[in-house]
Amino acid sequence: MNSELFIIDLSGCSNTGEIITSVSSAFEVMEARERKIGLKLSNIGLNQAQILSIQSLIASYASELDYVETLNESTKNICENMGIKVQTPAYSENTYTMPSREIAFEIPKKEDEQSPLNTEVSQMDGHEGENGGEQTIQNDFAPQASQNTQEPQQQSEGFEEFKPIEFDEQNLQTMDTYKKAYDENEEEKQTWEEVDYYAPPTDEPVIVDSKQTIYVTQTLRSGQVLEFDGNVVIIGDCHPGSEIKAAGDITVWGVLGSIAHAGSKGNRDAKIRALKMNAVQLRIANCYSRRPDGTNIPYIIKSSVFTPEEARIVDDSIVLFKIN
Amino acid sequence: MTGSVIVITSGKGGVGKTTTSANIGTALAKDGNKVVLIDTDIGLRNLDLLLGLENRIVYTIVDVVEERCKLKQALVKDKKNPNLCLLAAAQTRDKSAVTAEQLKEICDTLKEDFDYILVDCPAGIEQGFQNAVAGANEAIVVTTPEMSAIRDADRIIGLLEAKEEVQRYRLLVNRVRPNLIKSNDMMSVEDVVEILSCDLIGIIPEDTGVITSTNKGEPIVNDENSLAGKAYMNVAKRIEGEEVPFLDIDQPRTFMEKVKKFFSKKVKA
Repeated sequence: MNSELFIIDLSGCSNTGEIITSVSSAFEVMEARERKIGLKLSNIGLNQAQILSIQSLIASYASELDYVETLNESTKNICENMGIKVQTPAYSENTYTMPSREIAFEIPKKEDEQSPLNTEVSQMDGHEGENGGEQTIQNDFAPQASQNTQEPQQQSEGFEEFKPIEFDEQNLQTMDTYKKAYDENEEEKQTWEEVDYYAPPTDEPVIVDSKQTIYVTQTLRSGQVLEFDGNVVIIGDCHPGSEIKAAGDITVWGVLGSIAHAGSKGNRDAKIRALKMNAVQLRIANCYSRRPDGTNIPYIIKSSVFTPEEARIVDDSIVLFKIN
Repeated sequence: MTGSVIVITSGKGGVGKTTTSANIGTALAKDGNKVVLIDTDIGLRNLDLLLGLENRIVYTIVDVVEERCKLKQALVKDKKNPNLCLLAAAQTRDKSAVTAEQLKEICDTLKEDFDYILVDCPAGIEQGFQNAVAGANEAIVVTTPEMSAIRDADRIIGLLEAKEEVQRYRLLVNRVRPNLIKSNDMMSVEDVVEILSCDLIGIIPEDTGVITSTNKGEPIVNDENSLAGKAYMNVAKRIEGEEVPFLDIDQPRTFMEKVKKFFSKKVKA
């Protein structure tokens, strides 16, 4: 496991559904896997079960929840009881908030380090530079974040944000220098100047789909239809005879035994994930695939052993990929 | 070509309408007829499961009625027999999604291309039943040798007689247990026919193989050794107009029964 921390900023999330989606989107980036994860929460109140489910979601990507940053007292207490490290954020809610539905992740720096970018960045973001020294990490991402707030509206159909970031040679080199500098702590300041605006490619904020996400915590039973113009997250099983139709992705935190149609408005980048894939039919956009014959017994396989899988379109046919 | 539309109905639930539909349909198709099965049990469909076609359904009868697809697109071909087709019911709607006139129209269209159109009727005498009967010109009333099923069958026969289009109705006695009849614990088939005063089209013995075949999604007529399967094959022959004697369902199963029967015959002779 990579010992470097990977921080997911969830301060823009106002409910558990958004948190789950944001976290799973963050794991679309391979860099997030097999790492220690830090979560930045706003003052959202989470109960033990919710924290547990977030923890197991992170664990399903072979990563480990290292610490939680929260302003909420009850969340803080619950985390401490569960043995999770809690940090109080270096910024308070009033002085700085990330634009909602975006995730910025970073390689951590010590708090006493000064960034040469700091003052300039603070001005761009419209904040006073007074907290600059403490906000180093946050502000580094502010310019990109503020540029990107406009994009979701333009790109809402294309799902471009989900595509892996393309590396060009220049960026790759910068990444190397950056890492090298990080290992040799003493020379770090110098390299920061050299690096200038070429931040490592992974530092670009990943924008979560601007479409809405519905969050359902119940078992879908035969005959029930869930239709939504956005992403669907189901915490529960989907029994045969039910149907899920979503314009975006479908995520089932349980057994998927029904018909699932992701990207029903024609988005071929949509994905269907489930802890256990037992679907009668999978449809993505205009592609269709069915379960092999003779596997309809038993009615729905309820097991404690889960094999998380993800379905997506590869060359006009739906292919299942094991997650992990 | 004008096929005949046969509705399979019972009034009471759980007597084996759907099993009968699946098996007679498969048997007729095995004999080389072009058959289409229509499931009218909208919202509680099961016929697809019995035929093992659950994973192939894309369009349903409701999609046809609401003109989201053509009728031919909605016909699901059987895995083994290309002569057999299924028009599935929608699971996510209810009986009111289709009207009697619409179903009659579908039956009339299918008549041109198929020899037999079997309509699997839902339990009850409400809209679902009215829909299923609408296009039918023949009926098979399924019953079991129990008072409750017989009373419901009687009511259904009364309703069928009131329909002018239904020219003929015949009785199928399902789940007969010769052992119980012998010990006077179950009504005999003769009693049932006498009570309902109705032509008999078949006697199907109780068979545990039906349960496994249902779970496998494979009709029992495909099992050559099954007694119930043979009985269903005979029913299909009778539908085609052949004169087939009723099967001796009191067939010995175990070796000891065979020995007993062999000797009892000798003694009588």
